Amino acid sequence: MTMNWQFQTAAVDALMIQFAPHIDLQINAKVHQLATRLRQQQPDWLREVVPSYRSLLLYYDVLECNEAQVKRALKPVIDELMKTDETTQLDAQHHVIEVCYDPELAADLETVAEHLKGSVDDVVRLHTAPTYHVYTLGFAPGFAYLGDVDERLRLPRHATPRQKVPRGSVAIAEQQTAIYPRTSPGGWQLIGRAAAWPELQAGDTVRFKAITRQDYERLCADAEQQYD
Amino acid sequence: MTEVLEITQPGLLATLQDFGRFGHQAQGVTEGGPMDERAFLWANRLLGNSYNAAQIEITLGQFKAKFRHATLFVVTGAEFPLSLNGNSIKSWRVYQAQAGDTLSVGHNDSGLRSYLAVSGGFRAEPVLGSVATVVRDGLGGLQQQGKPLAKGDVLAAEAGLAKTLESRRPSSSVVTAIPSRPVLDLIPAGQIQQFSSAARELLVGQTYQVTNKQDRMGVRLQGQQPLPQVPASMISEPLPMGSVQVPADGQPIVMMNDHQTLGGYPKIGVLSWTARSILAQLPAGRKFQFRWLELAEAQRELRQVWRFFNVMR
Repeated sequence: MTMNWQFQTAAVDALMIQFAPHIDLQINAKVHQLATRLRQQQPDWLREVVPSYRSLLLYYDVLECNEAQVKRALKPVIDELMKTDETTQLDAQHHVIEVCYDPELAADLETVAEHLKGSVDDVVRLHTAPTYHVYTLGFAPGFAYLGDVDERLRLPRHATPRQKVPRGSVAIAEQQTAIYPRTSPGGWQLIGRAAAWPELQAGDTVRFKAITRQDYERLCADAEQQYD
Repeated sequence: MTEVLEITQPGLLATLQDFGRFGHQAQGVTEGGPMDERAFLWANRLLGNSYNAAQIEITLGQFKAKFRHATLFVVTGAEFPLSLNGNSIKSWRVYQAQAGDTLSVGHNDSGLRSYLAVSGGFRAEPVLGSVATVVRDGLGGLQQQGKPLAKGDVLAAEAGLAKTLESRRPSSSVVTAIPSRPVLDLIPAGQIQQFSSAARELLVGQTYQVTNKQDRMGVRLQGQQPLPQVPASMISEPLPMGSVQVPADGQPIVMMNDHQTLGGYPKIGVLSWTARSILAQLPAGRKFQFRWLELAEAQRELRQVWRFFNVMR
Protein backbone atom coordinates (compact mmCIF):
# COMPACT_ATOMS: atom_id res chain seq x y z
CA MET A 1 0.00 0.00 0.00
CA THR A 2 1.35 3.41 -0.89
CA MET A 3 0.26 6.35 1.16
CA ASN A 4 1.32 9.95 1.15
CA TRP A 5 2.68 11.54 4.27
CA GLN A 6 4.51 14.71 5.23
CA PHE A 7 6.29 16.42 8.09
CA GLN A 8 4.94 19.63 9.61
CA THR A 9 6.49 21.84 12.27
CA ALA A 10 4.07 21.71 15.21
CA ALA A 11 5.86 23.55 18.03
CA VAL A 12 9.33 24.64 19.15
CA ASP A 13 9.90 21.08 20.38
CA ALA A 14 7.31 19.12 18.40
CA LEU A 15 6.95 17.70 14.90
CA MET A 16 3.75 16.42 13.24
CA ILE A 17 3.61 13.56 10.75
CA GLN A 18 0.53 13.93 8.57
CA PHE A 19 -0.97 11.11 6.53
CA ALA A 20 -3.81 11.48 3.98
CA PRO A 21 -6.69 13.62 5.35
CA HIS A 22 -9.35 10.93 5.80
CA ILE A 23 -10.95 9.16 8.73
CA ASP A 24 -9.98 5.73 7.51
CA LEU A 25 -9.06 2.50 9.30
CA GLN A 26 -5.99 1.78 7.18
CA ILE A 27 -4.57 5.27 7.56
CA ASN A 28 -5.30 5.22 11.29
CA ALA A 29 -3.61 1.82 11.60
CA LYS A 30 -0.41 3.28 10.11
CA VAL A 31 -0.51 6.16 12.62
CA HIS A 32 -0.75 3.74 15.55
CA GLN A 33 1.82 1.32 14.15
CA LEU A 34 4.25 4.21 13.88
CA ALA A 35 3.45 5.28 17.45
CA THR A 36 4.03 1.72 18.69
CA ARG A 37 7.34 1.38 16.85
CA LEU A 38 8.64 4.66 18.20
CA ARG A 39 7.58 3.81 21.75
CA GLN A 40 9.36 0.46 21.44
CA GLN A 41 12.52 1.95 19.94
CA GLN A 42 12.58 4.75 22.54
CA PRO A 43 15.21 6.91 20.89
CA ASP A 44 16.99 9.26 23.34
CA TRP A 45 15.53 12.35 21.73
CA LEU A 46 11.87 11.21 21.92
CA ARG A 47 9.78 12.60 24.76
CA GLU A 48 6.14 11.91 23.88
CA VAL A 49 4.05 10.44 21.05
CA VAL A 50 0.45 11.58 20.46
CA PRO A 51 -1.40 9.68 17.73
CA SER A 52 -4.81 10.76 16.42
CA TYR A 53 -6.90 9.95 13.30
CA ARG A 54 -4.36 10.57 10.58
CA SER A 55 -1.68 12.53 12.42
CA LEU A 56 1.10 11.71 14.84
CA LEU A 57 2.58 14.42 17.06
CA LEU A 58 6.10 13.86 18.38
CA TYR A 59 7.67 15.87 21.18
CA TYR A 60 11.45 15.78 21.14
CA ASP A 61 14.22 16.95 23.44
CA VAL A 62 15.68 20.17 22.03
CA LEU A 63 18.78 19.67 24.18
CA GLU A 64 19.46 16.44 22.26
CA CYS A 65 18.61 17.42 18.69
CA ASN A 66 17.05 19.85 16.24
CA GLU A 67 14.15 19.33 13.83
CA ALA A 68 16.32 18.32 10.86
CA GLN A 69 17.95 15.55 12.92
CA VAL A 70 14.55 14.26 14.07
CA LYS A 71 13.34 14.16 10.46
CA ARG A 72 16.47 12.28 9.38
CA ALA A 73 15.96 9.72 12.14
CA LEU A 74 12.25 9.27 11.36
CA LYS A 75 12.27 9.03 7.59
CA PRO A 76 13.65 5.47 7.32
CA VAL A 77 11.25 4.28 10.05
CA ILE A 78 8.24 5.72 8.18
CA ASP A 79 9.44 4.53 4.77
CA GLU A 80 9.81 1.00 6.10
CA LEU A 81 6.39 1.13 7.73
CA MET A 82 4.84 2.22 4.43
CA LYS A 83 6.26 -0.83 2.66
CA THR A 84 4.59 -3.29 5.01
CA ASP A 85 1.01 -4.46 4.62
CA GLU A 86 0.75 -5.01 8.33
CA THR A 87 -2.73 -4.00 9.46
CA THR A 88 -2.84 -5.34 12.98
CA GLN A 89 -1.27 -3.82 15.99
CA LEU A 90 0.80 -5.95 18.34
CA ASP A 91 -0.27 -4.41 21.64
CA ALA A 92 -3.93 -3.85 20.70
CA GLN A 93 -6.53 -5.38 23.02
CA HIS A 94 -10.13 -6.40 22.46
CA HIS A 95 -12.75 -5.32 24.97
CA VAL A 96 -16.42 -6.15 25.49
CA ILE A 97 -18.34 -3.36 27.22
CA GLU A 98 -21.77 -3.97 28.73
CA VAL A 99 -24.33 -1.29 27.94
CA CYS A 100 -27.86 -0.78 29.19
CA TYR A 101 -30.00 0.64 26.38
CA ASP A 102 -32.89 2.09 28.39
CA PRO A 103 -34.72 5.31 27.45
CA GLU A 104 -34.68 6.34 31.11
CA LEU A 105 -30.88 6.30 31.08
CA ALA A 106 -30.37 7.57 27.53
CA ALA A 107 -32.16 10.78 26.59
CA ASP A 108 -31.88 10.39 22.82
CA LEU A 109 -32.54 6.66 22.45
CA GLU A 110 -36.19 7.00 21.39
CA THR A 111 -35.49 9.89 18.99
CA VAL A 112 -32.72 7.88 17.36
CA ALA A 113 -35.15 4.93 16.97
CA GLU A 114 -37.68 7.29 15.34
CA HIS A 115 -34.99 8.56 12.99
CA LEU A 116 -34.42 4.91 11.97
CA LYS A 117 -38.16 4.47 11.53
CA GLY A 118 -37.64 1.51 13.79
CA SER A 119 -37.66 0.48 17.43
CA VAL A 120 -35.24 0.80 20.33
CA ASP A 121 -34.34 -2.85 19.64
CA ASP A 122 -33.24 -1.90 16.13
CA VAL A 123 -30.90 0.75 17.56
CA VAL A 124 -29.48 -1.83 19.99
CA ARG A 125 -29.02 -4.38 17.21
CA LEU A 126 -27.19 -1.89 14.95
CA HIS A 127 -25.03 -0.47 17.74
CA THR A 128 -23.96 -3.85 19.17
CA ALA A 129 -23.24 -5.50 15.79
CA PRO A 130 -19.89 -4.00 14.71
CA THR A 131 -16.45 -4.45 16.21
CA TYR A 132 -15.37 -0.86 16.74
CA HIS A 133 -11.87 0.48 16.39
CA VAL A 134 -10.41 3.09 18.79
CA TYR A 135 -9.23 5.80 16.39
CA THR A 136 -7.91 8.18 19.00
CA LEU A 137 -8.33 9.57 22.51
CA GLY A 138 -8.81 13.21 23.29
CA PHE A 139 -11.23 16.00 24.24
CA ALA A 140 -11.00 14.90 27.88
CA PRO A 141 -9.02 12.25 29.79
CA GLY A 142 -10.01 8.77 28.64
CA PHE A 143 -12.51 9.95 26.00
CA ALA A 144 -12.07 7.39 23.19
CA TYR A 145 -13.35 7.99 19.67
CA LEU A 146 -14.67 4.65 18.30
CA GLY A 147 -15.74 3.90 14.74
CA ASP A 148 -17.32 3.12 12.44
CA VAL A 149 -20.98 3.37 13.33
CA ASP A 150 -23.41 1.61 10.94
CA GLU A 151 -24.45 4.03 8.18
CA ARG A 152 -28.13 3.72 9.16
CA LEU A 153 -27.31 4.91 12.68
CA ARG A 154 -25.38 8.03 11.69
CA LEU A 155 -26.82 11.23 13.13
CA PRO A 156 -25.33 14.68 13.57
CA ARG A 157 -24.42 16.22 16.93
CA HIS A 158 -27.06 18.30 18.70
CA ALA A 159 -27.05 21.92 17.48
CA THR A 160 -26.73 23.03 21.10
CA PRO A 161 -24.64 20.75 23.33
CA ARG A 162 -26.07 19.55 26.65
CA GLN A 163 -24.59 21.19 29.73
CA LYS A 164 -24.41 17.88 31.55
CA VAL A 165 -23.97 14.46 29.98
CA PRO A 166 -23.93 11.81 32.76
CA ARG A 167 -20.80 9.75 33.35
CA GLY A 168 -20.92 6.45 31.49
CA SER A 169 -23.25 7.71 28.76
CA VAL A 170 -22.83 5.82 25.49
CA ALA A 171 -23.27 8.21 22.59
CA ILE A 172 -23.11 8.46 18.81
CA ALA A 173 -22.25 11.28 16.40
CA GLU A 174 -21.89 10.71 12.65
CA GLN A 175 -19.55 7.72 12.14
CA GLN A 176 -18.31 7.77 15.75
CA THR A 177 -19.40 6.38 19.07
CA ALA A 178 -17.98 6.98 22.56
CA ILE A 179 -18.45 6.62 26.31
CA TYR A 180 -18.37 9.84 28.35
CA PRO A 181 -15.77 8.93 31.03
CA ARG A 182 -16.97 11.66 33.40
CA THR A 183 -19.96 13.95 33.64
CA SER A 184 -19.29 16.81 31.25
CA PRO A 185 -20.92 19.01 28.62
CA GLY A 186 -21.45 17.22 25.31
CA GLY A 187 -23.34 17.34 22.04
CA TRP A 188 -23.55 13.68 21.02
CA GLN A 189 -26.75 11.58 20.81
CA LEU A 190 -27.13 9.56 24.02
CA ILE A 191 -28.30 5.98 23.38
CA GLY A 192 -27.13 3.94 26.38
CA ARG A 193 -25.32 3.81 29.69
CA ALA A 194 -22.36 1.73 30.85
CA ALA A 195 -21.70 0.99 34.54
CA ALA A 196 -18.02 0.20 34.02
CA TRP A 197 -15.52 0.21 31.18
CA PRO A 198 -11.82 -0.50 30.76
CA GLU A 199 -9.13 2.05 30.00
CA LEU A 200 -9.01 2.13 26.21
CA GLN A 201 -5.93 2.68 24.09
CA ALA A 202 -5.91 3.90 20.51
CA GLY A 203 -5.80 0.86 18.22
CA ASP A 204 -7.85 -1.32 20.59
CA THR A 205 -11.09 -2.92 19.42
CA VAL A 206 -14.44 -2.82 21.24
CA ARG A 207 -17.79 -4.64 21.06
CA PHE A 208 -20.84 -3.43 22.97
CA LYS A 209 -23.07 -6.01 24.64
CA ALA A 210 -26.64 -5.17 25.67
CA ILE A 211 -27.57 -5.85 29.31
CA THR A 212 -30.84 -5.49 31.21
CA ARG A 213 -31.67 -2.60 33.52
CA GLN A 214 -31.47 -5.03 36.44
CA ASP A 215 -27.94 -6.12 35.49
CA TYR A 216 -26.95 -2.50 35.01
CA GLU A 217 -28.17 -1.54 38.50
CA ARG A 218 -26.34 -4.51 40.00
CA LEU A 219 -23.09 -3.52 38.23
CA CYS A 220 -23.49 0.05 39.48
CA ALA A 221 -23.90 -1.22 43.05
CA ASP A 222 -20.80 -3.43 42.62
CA ALA A 223 -18.80 -0.48 41.30
CA GLU A 224 -19.88 1.63 44.27
CA GLN A 225 -18.87 -1.05 46.73
CA GLN A 226 -15.36 -1.05 45.32
CA TYR A 227 -15.01 2.54 46.49
CA ASP A 228 -16.24 1.84 50.03
CA MET B 1 7.31 17.46 55.72
CA THR B 2 5.69 20.32 57.61
CA GLU B 3 2.46 22.26 57.31
CA VAL B 4 3.62 25.69 56.19
CA LEU B 5 0.69 27.65 54.81
CA GLU B 6 -3.04 28.10 55.35
CA ILE B 7 -5.15 29.77 52.67
CA THR B 8 -7.36 32.45 54.24
CA GLN B 9 -8.58 34.03 50.98
CA PRO B 10 -7.95 32.30 47.62
CA GLY B 11 -9.07 35.19 45.37
CA LEU B 12 -10.61 34.51 41.95
CA LEU B 13 -8.60 31.36 41.23
CA ALA B 14 -5.63 29.97 43.12
CA THR B 15 -4.30 26.60 41.98
CA LEU B 16 -1.45 24.30 42.92
CA GLN B 17 0.87 23.87 39.94
CA ASP B 18 4.10 22.04 39.30
CA PHE B 19 5.75 22.20 35.86
CA GLY B 20 2.98 20.07 34.33
CA ARG B 21 1.64 16.60 33.60
CA PHE B 22 3.64 15.21 30.69
CA GLY B 23 3.43 11.99 28.71
CA HIS B 24 -0.35 11.44 28.81
CA GLN B 25 -1.69 13.48 25.89
CA ALA B 26 -2.32 10.25 23.98
CA GLN B 27 -4.95 9.50 26.67
CA GLY B 28 -6.49 12.96 26.30
CA VAL B 29 -4.78 14.35 29.41
CA THR B 30 -3.50 17.89 28.96
CA GLU B 31 -0.33 19.35 30.53
CA GLY B 32 -1.57 22.00 32.95
CA GLY B 33 1.30 23.69 34.76
CA PRO B 34 2.15 27.38 35.19
CA MET B 35 0.76 29.78 32.58
CA ASP B 36 3.79 32.06 33.08
CA GLU B 37 6.58 29.47 33.04
CA ARG B 38 9.21 32.15 33.24
CA ALA B 39 7.92 33.55 36.55
CA PHE B 40 7.41 30.02 37.91
CA LEU B 41 10.93 28.82 37.04
CA TRP B 42 12.44 31.99 38.50
CA ALA B 43 10.62 31.48 41.80
CA ASN B 44 12.02 27.96 42.16
CA ARG B 45 15.49 29.07 41.12
CA LEU B 46 15.54 31.91 43.65
CA LEU B 47 14.70 29.46 46.43
CA GLY B 48 17.13 26.80 45.26
CA ASN B 49 14.21 24.43 44.57
CA SER B 50 13.97 21.84 41.81
CA TYR B 51 12.49 23.40 38.64
CA ASN B 52 9.40 21.21 39.16
CA ALA B 53 8.66 22.13 42.81
CA ALA B 54 4.95 22.96 43.26
CA GLN B 55 3.80 26.55 43.76
CA ILE B 56 0.50 28.42 44.00
CA GLU B 57 -0.64 30.20 40.84
CA ILE B 58 -2.67 33.22 41.99
CA THR B 59 -5.04 34.80 39.47
CA LEU B 60 -5.78 38.57 39.72
CA GLY B 61 -4.47 38.83 43.28
CA GLN B 62 -6.85 39.36 46.24
CA PHE B 63 -5.12 36.41 47.91
CA LYS B 64 -4.33 36.00 51.60
CA ALA B 65 -2.55 33.27 53.50
CA LYS B 66 -1.09 32.62 56.92
CA PHE B 67 2.23 30.90 57.48
CA ARG B 68 2.13 28.02 59.96
CA HIS B 69 5.85 27.37 60.06
CA ALA B 70 9.00 29.36 59.35
CA THR B 71 10.01 29.19 55.68
CA LEU B 72 11.68 31.13 52.91
CA PHE B 73 9.24 32.30 50.25
CA VAL B 74 9.06 34.41 47.12
CA VAL B 75 6.25 35.84 44.97
CA THR B 76 7.03 36.28 41.25
CA GLY B 77 5.00 37.10 38.14
CA ALA B 78 2.72 40.13 37.97
CA GLU B 79 3.95 43.07 40.05
CA PHE B 80 0.99 43.02 42.42
CA PRO B 81 1.30 44.92 45.72
CA LEU B 82 2.44 42.53 48.47
CA SER B 83 2.52 42.79 52.22
CA LEU B 84 3.80 40.62 55.04
CA ASN B 85 2.04 41.38 58.35
CA GLY B 86 0.85 44.62 56.78
CA ASN B 87 4.34 45.79 55.79
CA SER B 88 4.95 46.28 52.10
CA ILE B 89 7.37 43.79 50.52
CA LYS B 90 8.69 43.34 46.97
CA SER B 91 7.90 40.71 44.40
CA TRP B 92 10.77 38.69 42.88
CA ARG B 93 12.61 38.84 46.28
CA VAL B 94 13.13 36.02 48.73
CA TYR B 95 11.89 36.66 52.29
CA GLN B 96 11.88 34.71 55.52
CA ALA B 97 8.42 34.14 57.03
CA GLN B 98 7.79 33.10 60.64
CA ALA B 99 4.92 31.00 61.95
CA GLY B 100 1.89 33.26 62.30
CA ASP B 101 2.96 35.75 59.61
CA THR B 102 0.27 36.79 57.14
CA LEU B 103 0.89 37.35 53.44
CA SER B 104 -1.42 39.49 51.37
CA VAL B 105 -1.38 39.82 47.57
CA GLY B 106 -3.25 42.79 46.12
CA HIS B 107 -4.11 43.60 42.55
CA ASN B 108 -3.25 46.11 39.83
CA ASP B 109 -3.13 46.07 36.02
CA SER B 110 0.54 45.06 35.76
CA GLY B 111 -0.41 41.48 34.91
CA LEU B 112 -2.78 38.61 35.64
CA ARG B 113 -0.94 35.95 37.58
CA SER B 114 1.57 35.66 40.37
CA TYR B 115 3.38 32.66 41.80
CA LEU B 116 3.88 31.97 45.49
CA ALA B 117 6.71 29.54 46.14
CA VAL B 118 8.13 28.27 49.41
CA SER B 119 11.42 26.59 50.16
CA GLY B 120 11.26 22.92 49.07
CA GLY B 121 7.95 23.37 47.23
CA PHE B 122 4.37 22.56 48.28
CA ARG B 123 3.53 18.92 48.75
CA ALA B 124 0.53 16.98 47.38
CA GLU B 125 -0.07 13.45 46.13
CA PRO B 126 0.71 13.42 42.38
CA VAL B 127 -1.83 12.20 39.80
CA LEU B 128 -0.21 10.72 36.66
CA GLY B 129 3.14 12.00 37.87
CA SER B 130 2.10 15.58 38.60
CA VAL B 131 0.26 17.73 41.15
CA ALA B 132 -0.69 20.32 38.48
CA THR B 133 -4.33 21.35 38.95
CA VAL B 134 -6.44 21.01 35.79
CA VAL B 135 -10.01 21.87 36.76
CA ARG B 136 -11.42 20.76 33.41
CA ASP B 137 -9.80 17.32 33.65
CA GLY B 138 -10.57 16.92 37.36
CA LEU B 139 -6.91 16.08 38.02
CA GLY B 140 -4.26 17.29 40.46
CA GLY B 141 -4.31 19.81 43.27
CA LEU B 142 -4.40 19.25 47.01
CA GLN B 143 -7.09 16.52 46.88
CA GLN B 144 -6.09 15.09 43.46
CA GLN B 145 -9.47 16.00 41.93
CA GLY B 146 -8.58 19.18 40.11
CA LYS B 147 -10.09 21.53 42.68
CA PRO B 148 -8.76 25.07 43.05
CA LEU B 149 -7.40 26.01 46.49
CA ALA B 150 -10.10 27.06 48.94
CA LYS B 151 -10.25 29.03 52.19
CA GLY B 152 -8.99 26.84 55.04
CA ASP B 153 -6.81 24.61 52.85
CA VAL B 154 -3.51 23.84 54.56
CA LEU B 155 -0.44 23.10 52.47
CA ALA B 156 2.62 21.19 53.58
CA ALA B 157 6.06 21.61 52.07
CA GLU B 158 9.03 19.42 51.39
CA ALA B 159 12.20 20.17 53.32
CA GLY B 160 14.13 22.88 51.48
CA LEU B 161 17.21 25.00 51.94
CA ALA B 162 17.36 26.61 55.37
CA LYS B 163 19.87 29.28 54.35
CA THR B 164 18.63 32.83 54.05
CA LEU B 165 18.84 33.97 50.48
CA GLU B 166 17.16 37.33 50.93
CA SER B 167 19.60 39.12 48.70
CA ARG B 168 18.78 36.83 45.80
CA ARG B 169 16.99 38.43 42.88
CA PRO B 170 16.83 37.61 39.19
CA SER B 171 19.96 38.23 37.18
CA SER B 172 19.54 39.70 33.72
CA SER B 173 20.21 36.66 31.56
CA VAL B 174 16.56 35.67 31.32
CA VAL B 175 14.63 38.90 31.61
CA THR B 176 11.45 39.06 33.64
CA ALA B 177 9.78 42.32 32.63
CA ILE B 178 6.48 42.50 30.78
CA PRO B 179 6.85 45.28 28.19
CA SER B 180 4.04 47.86 27.95
CA ARG B 181 3.73 47.21 24.19
CA PRO B 182 4.82 43.57 23.83
CA VAL B 183 6.00 41.89 20.65
CA LEU B 184 5.19 38.17 20.65
CA ASP B 185 7.46 35.86 18.65
CA LEU B 186 5.59 33.39 16.48
CA ILE B 187 7.10 30.39 14.71
CA PRO B 188 5.49 29.29 11.40
CA ALA B 189 3.80 25.95 12.12
CA GLY B 190 0.81 23.72 11.41
CA GLN B 191 -1.16 24.72 8.32
CA ILE B 192 0.88 27.91 7.65
CA GLN B 193 1.32 26.82 3.99
CA GLN B 194 -2.46 26.90 3.50
CA PHE B 195 -2.77 30.51 4.64
CA SER B 196 -2.45 33.18 1.94
CA SER B 197 0.54 35.51 1.96
CA ALA B 198 -1.95 38.33 2.65
CA ALA B 199 -3.03 36.57 5.86
CA ARG B 200 0.57 35.92 6.95
CA GLU B 201 1.48 39.57 6.35
CA LEU B 202 -1.61 40.92 8.09
CA LEU B 203 -0.91 38.78 11.17
CA VAL B 204 2.41 40.56 11.79
CA GLY B 205 1.38 43.87 10.21
CA GLN B 206 -1.56 44.82 12.40
CA THR B 207 -2.02 45.33 16.12
CA TYR B 208 -3.82 42.68 18.17
CA GLN B 209 -5.43 42.91 21.54
CA VAL B 210 -6.20 40.31 24.15
CA THR B 211 -9.95 39.88 24.74
CA ASN B 212 -11.76 38.99 27.96
CA LYS B 213 -12.46 35.54 26.49
CA GLN B 214 -9.42 34.00 28.08
CA ASP B 215 -8.69 31.40 30.71
CA ARG B 216 -6.19 28.62 31.38
CA MET B 217 -7.38 26.81 28.23
CA GLY B 218 -6.83 29.55 25.72
CA VAL B 219 -6.79 33.25 24.87
CA ARG B 220 -8.96 34.76 22.16
CA LEU B 221 -7.39 37.64 20.29
CA GLN B 222 -8.94 40.50 18.36
CA GLY B 223 -7.24 42.06 15.35
CA GLN B 224 -8.43 45.25 13.64
CA GLN B 225 -9.21 43.09 10.61
CA PRO B 226 -9.93 39.36 10.54
CA LEU B 227 -7.38 37.23 8.68
CA PRO B 228 -8.62 36.71 5.10
CA GLN B 229 -9.16 33.34 3.33
CA VAL B 230 -8.97 31.11 6.40
CA PRO B 231 -8.50 27.43 5.39
CA ALA B 232 -11.35 25.04 6.21
CA SER B 233 -11.54 23.09 9.47
CA MET B 234 -9.79 19.73 9.44
CA ILE B 235 -10.05 16.26 10.94
CA SER B 236 -9.07 16.86 14.58
CA GLU B 237 -5.37 16.46 15.25
CA PRO B 238 -3.08 16.75 18.29
CA LEU B 239 -2.77 20.31 19.47
CA PRO B 240 0.43 21.55 21.16
CA MET B 241 0.50 24.32 23.77
CA GLY B 242 1.10 27.77 22.29
CA SER B 243 -0.59 26.90 18.98
CA VAL B 244 -2.31 29.82 17.25
CA GLN B 245 -5.57 28.45 15.85
CA VAL B 246 -7.61 30.45 13.39
CA PRO B 247 -11.34 29.64 13.24
CA ALA B 248 -13.49 30.71 10.31
CA ASP B 249 -14.05 34.21 11.76
CA GLY B 250 -10.35 34.99 11.16
CA GLN B 251 -9.62 35.99 14.79
CA PRO B 252 -6.84 33.87 16.37
CA ILE B 253 -7.08 31.78 19.53
CA VAL B 254 -3.86 30.85 21.37
CA MET B 255 -4.00 27.49 23.14
CA MET B 256 -2.58 27.62 26.67
CA ASN B 257 -1.75 25.08 29.41
CA ASP B 258 -5.20 23.49 29.92
CA HIS B 259 -5.92 23.24 26.17
CA GLN B 260 -7.86 20.27 24.81
CA THR B 261 -5.50 17.66 23.35
CA LEU B 262 -7.18 17.53 19.91
CA GLY B 263 -8.33 20.39 17.71
CA GLY B 264 -9.63 20.86 14.19
CA TYR B 265 -9.08 24.55 13.42
CA PRO B 266 -6.17 25.37 11.11
CA LYS B 267 -3.04 26.65 12.87
CA ILE B 268 -0.89 29.45 11.48
CA GLY B 269 1.95 29.19 14.00
CA VAL B 270 3.05 28.56 17.55
CA LEU B 271 4.30 31.02 20.19
CA SER B 272 7.89 30.99 21.40
CA TRP B 273 8.58 30.15 25.06
CA THR B 274 8.98 33.80 26.07
CA ALA B 275 5.93 34.90 24.07
CA ARG B 276 3.74 32.35 25.88
CA SER B 277 4.87 33.60 29.30
CA ILE B 278 4.20 37.23 28.28
CA LEU B 279 0.75 36.42 26.88
CA ALA B 280 -0.14 34.70 30.18
CA GLN B 281 0.16 38.12 31.85
CA LEU B 282 -1.66 40.39 29.36
CA PRO B 283 -4.97 41.78 30.65
CA ALA B 284 -7.97 42.13 28.32
CA GLY B 285 -7.55 45.16 26.06
CA ARG B 286 -3.73 45.15 26.11
CA LYS B 287 -2.33 45.72 22.61
CA PHE B 288 0.59 43.82 21.13
CA GLN B 289 2.14 42.77 17.83
CA PHE B 290 3.25 39.45 16.42
CA ARG B 291 6.66 38.97 14.82
CA TRP B 292 7.77 35.92 12.82
CA LEU B 293 10.68 34.01 14.31
CA GLU B 294 12.55 31.13 12.71
CA LEU B 295 12.28 27.74 14.39
CA ALA B 296 16.08 27.51 14.83
CA GLU B 297 16.07 30.79 16.79
CA ALA B 298 13.16 29.65 18.96
CA GLN B 299 14.98 26.40 19.70
CA ARG B 300 18.14 28.30 20.67
CA GLU B 301 16.04 30.29 23.15
CA LEU B 302 14.42 27.15 24.58
CA ARG B 303 17.78 25.39 24.99
CA GLN B 304 19.16 28.40 26.84
CA VAL B 305 16.10 28.46 29.16
CA TRP B 306 16.13 24.71 29.85
CA ARG B 307 19.85 24.87 30.74
CA PHE B 308 19.58 28.04 32.80
CA PHE B 309 16.74 26.70 34.94
CA ASN B 310 18.03 23.13 34.93
CA VAL B 311 14.79 21.82 33.43
CA MET B 312 14.99 18.07 32.85
CA ARG B 313 11.95 17.09 30.90
